[in-house]
Amino acid sequence: MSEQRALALLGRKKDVLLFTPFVKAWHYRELIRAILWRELSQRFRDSYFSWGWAIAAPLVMLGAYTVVFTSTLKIGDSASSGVVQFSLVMFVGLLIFNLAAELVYRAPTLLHEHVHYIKKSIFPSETLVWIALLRALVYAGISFAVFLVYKLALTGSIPLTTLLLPFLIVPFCLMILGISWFLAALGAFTRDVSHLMITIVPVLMFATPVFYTTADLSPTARLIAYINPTTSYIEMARQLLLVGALPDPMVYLATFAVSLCLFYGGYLFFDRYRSVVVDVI
Amino acid sequence: MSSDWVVRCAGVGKAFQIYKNYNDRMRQVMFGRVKKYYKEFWVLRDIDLELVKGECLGIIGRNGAGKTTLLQLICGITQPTHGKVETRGSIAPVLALGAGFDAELTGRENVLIGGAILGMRRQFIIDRLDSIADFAGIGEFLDRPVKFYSSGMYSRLAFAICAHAEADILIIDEVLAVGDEGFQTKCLKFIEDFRRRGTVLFVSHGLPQGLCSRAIWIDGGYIRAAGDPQSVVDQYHEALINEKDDAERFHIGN
Repeated sequence: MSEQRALALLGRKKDVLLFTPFVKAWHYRELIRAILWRELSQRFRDSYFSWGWAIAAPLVMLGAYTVVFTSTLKIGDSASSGVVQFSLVMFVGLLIFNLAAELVYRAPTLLHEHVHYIKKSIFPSETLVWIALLRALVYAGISFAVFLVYKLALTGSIPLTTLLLPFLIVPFCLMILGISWFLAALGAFTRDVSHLMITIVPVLMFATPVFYTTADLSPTARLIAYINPTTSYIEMARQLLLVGALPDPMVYLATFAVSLCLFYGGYLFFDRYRSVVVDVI
Repeated sequence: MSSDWVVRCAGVGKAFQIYKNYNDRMRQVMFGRVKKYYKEFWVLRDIDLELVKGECLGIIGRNGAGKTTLLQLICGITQPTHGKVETRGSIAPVLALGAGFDAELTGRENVLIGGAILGMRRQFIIDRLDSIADFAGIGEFLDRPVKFYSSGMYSRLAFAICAHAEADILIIDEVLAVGDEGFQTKCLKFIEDFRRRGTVLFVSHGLPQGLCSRAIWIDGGYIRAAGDPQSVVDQYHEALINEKDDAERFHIGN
């Protein structure tokens, strides 16, 4: 079944609706799977420990945080809740932030990197963003598994609310997809987008409560921090994974709504410049 | 004209936007509605073309004449500046051999990726792996990383995948030159067989005898001659000898 027919079944051919990206992603699932598999299988090829490296990296990071924060630093109020706990607080922050950061770094050059696919075959360029997201999710998933084992070993328990994490991850992924589509289309026109991201993402890391929590901030600073949607995701993930409490429903709904807007807006932008992009990369 | 066309181009033109520098491109994106910041380079102009099922169209022309752009337009990879391109049925583009290949992966693994890019389902490819291996004829190299392939072996495997795509229209852009004669014969035989169930568009500098049912010669973006393959090729060769090979044809602007 052709893409046009798949969309025609939904009644509308030309219009881009909120679920259009999902219909198309499902339509191209075999292609997404093949290229995702390619990217994953070449990553650790010709290395002896292969996927062991994907586990080692987060494990070493967690261990290093625990050691460093046990022996030297004491940061803010959250340090009082226990040093082990604090390394976990930071790890959750990094996990969420890195997921977004990887996509934001890659998106502007994504179309340039796959110019062969786009110009030499009939290739749906939007799938590249899905593939990049799924790839990042695989690594984040490994880090998350390491986190769970580590938390269980150190604190002896994992809160039941951890099971609710998918309700957080799904809107978070939609948000990243939207932003990535926007950056990918923009990045096709100018390489500056890529350089800009490399420059500002490390700064954004400090503007996002990765190494601290919003509780450490003054009320004004807290308000500013929440302009960044990643902030609320990190805070809500900490609630679910570490505290074992449900996030504020109003914050959740607001964040969800913002994410959905970014998702749809980003896709519309990409869709609008889709045919122009081919001629400029 | 007949109503059972498979490929139809009506008044198709394609202009690329040429920018003096990178900033102009950004300005065009931002203020394009108000002012034009580029010069146009017309790759194709006034292309009218209609193909019915079972035809094999040969396309010849000098470098930069617009042959590949025409194929890209028909594939829907890029959009025409004016005019209309329509196709009926699925297309298997062979614009570059092994474009999606990953040097680190084995031939067998690359078959799965190359097939997926051509729109084949995973199970469909797995069912045909033996047949693909047989067509490629590269023996045990199929299980070696493609970075150890010779360029001929690379093309063999890539074309073998394309030959197994279930398509109605086959579009081939001058890719067979690298293979040895044995393999070229195999490919030409495949193209001839394919004509029984579909339509072929074929770009080449020298059209093989008897392969094409019709030919067009594209020169400077226009169709300069069309019709019987032999006479079109003759006119083309004559022009190659008589006209000088200068830079005038790559003129930007109107």
